[in-house]
Amino acid sequence: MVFVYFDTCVWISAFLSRDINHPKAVAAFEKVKHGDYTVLVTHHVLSEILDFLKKEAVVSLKDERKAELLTREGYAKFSIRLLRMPNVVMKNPNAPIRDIFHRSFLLLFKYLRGMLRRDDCPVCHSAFSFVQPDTIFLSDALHATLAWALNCDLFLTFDKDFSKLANEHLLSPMKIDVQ
Amino acid sequence: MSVESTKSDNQIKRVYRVRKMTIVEEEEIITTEIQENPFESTHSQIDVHMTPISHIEIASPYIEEEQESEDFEERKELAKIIGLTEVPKKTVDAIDEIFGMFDSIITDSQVDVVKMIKDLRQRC
Repeated sequence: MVFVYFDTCVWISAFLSRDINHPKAVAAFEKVKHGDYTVLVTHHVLSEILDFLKKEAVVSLKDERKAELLTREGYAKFSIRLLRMPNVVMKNPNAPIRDIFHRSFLLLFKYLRGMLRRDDCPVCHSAFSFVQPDTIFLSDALHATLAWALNCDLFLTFDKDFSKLANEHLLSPMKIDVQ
Repeated sequence: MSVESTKSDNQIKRVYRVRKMTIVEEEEIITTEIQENPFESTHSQIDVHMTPISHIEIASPYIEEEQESEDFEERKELAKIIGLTEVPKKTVDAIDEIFGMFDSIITDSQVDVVKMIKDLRQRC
């Protein structure tokens, strides 16, 4: 039995069959189904799924009332399935919040470098010099720290930025699996 | 085997289970009270025939199993938030049901969730 923390992208990739990583997400959840993995879910993951739904609902509907309804409906649909899923445990670490934020800060401070040139500027949608930071951010560091504090054996994500943390002693002995 | 004998067997098993659980309960109480002689057997002091009938209702297997799960309180709270009156039972089917669950919300022909999550985390 392996205790695994699924990054939010793994969860949402499973929800969207047109995502490029959807087959990998399905494979990961098959392991949960067969009892090879026990997935630990924190409220940080639950919150991020809610944020994701909220954003997508507003962007697609452009109506705050309808977007709120869609978000509530979608989240209830997800929650009912989550509550019924075997080998999935809702858990938050017992560690003091100071320890969680302190370790996250140390991770963030260590991995400052990283820049990505994008060809899809969200404003002009052109391929000019639109750049953005490309390294771990607060939420990434928090997820990794929470998984570590929960004594997870494995942190599974599709986000390549996490490969920087693969040999990070602050997260040892947890393994970071970037698929 | 006749129907009557099967029913009788089931009743015996049920009574046995109730008695067994009661022993465990009383064992805990006696263990905390008797500190001076922890090696004394406590089983012989328990009269299982004095088990109150009300224990049968309290010790139903479903409730027992649910309350023993380590995340029961979290699950109960989430169930309440979304308007359920009780925590649903776990079933393997639930995993298959999440695949493609939100396809109707995002209608793009191809989706990159990693990029979407990165944007969400960086608020851009």
